[in-house]
Amino acid sequence: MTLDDDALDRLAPTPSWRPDWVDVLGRAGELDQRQWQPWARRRRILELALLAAVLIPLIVLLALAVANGWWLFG
Amino acid sequence: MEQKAVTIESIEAVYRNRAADFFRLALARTSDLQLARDAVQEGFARALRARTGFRGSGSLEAWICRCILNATHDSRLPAVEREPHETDRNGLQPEMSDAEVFAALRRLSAPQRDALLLRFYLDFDYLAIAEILGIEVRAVATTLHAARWNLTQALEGVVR
Repeated sequence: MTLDDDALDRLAPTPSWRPDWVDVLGRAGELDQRQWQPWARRRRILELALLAAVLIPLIVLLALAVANGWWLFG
Repeated sequence: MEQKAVTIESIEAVYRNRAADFFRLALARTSDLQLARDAVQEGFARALRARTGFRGSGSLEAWICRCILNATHDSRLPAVEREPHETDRNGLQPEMSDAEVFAALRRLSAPQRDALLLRFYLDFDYLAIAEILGIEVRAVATTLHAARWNLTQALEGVVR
């Protein structure tokens, strides 16, 4: 190790560092969004489930109506 | 050229792997533990906010490093005016104080100092250093050589 390596090495000791990623997210304004994200994802899943609950029986009913020549399509 | 998307997770991965090295760089530039920590945290926060602007032409680490260097610039507190932090002196040369090493660093030109710190603390290659400092790749080698020579001269002057 040379004189300048030794000097640079001791100037900035690694043990002084304490990581804090949550602080970074907070500074970037991402923390609120991240906390909100799981709720948003659950809400979206619920919305899709409700939509499916309405659409699937409707499609089945329409298929049956077409297959049986019910008056609605006659 | 296809633009590579930068996700929060990819920036977080750089933080987990490299933040300690970035901290050493910031500490050598600011000579203040709190300012150095703030510069790293703020630099990563800026990278997160500006991630959609990353063009993917260079490495993500180098791009984040530029954010951190900008954050240290913005602290607007020249290290030479502050009392340097205390470091562990076990096994170190007692005749050379941290203040003298910082002063020797300050005597280097800004490109020389930054090139030296980027190479030493982050082990960046010449291409990354050139990208961060905005200089030609072929100029990095001469800048580093001059930085090492000048720093060694300055430190030998202190030790004598």
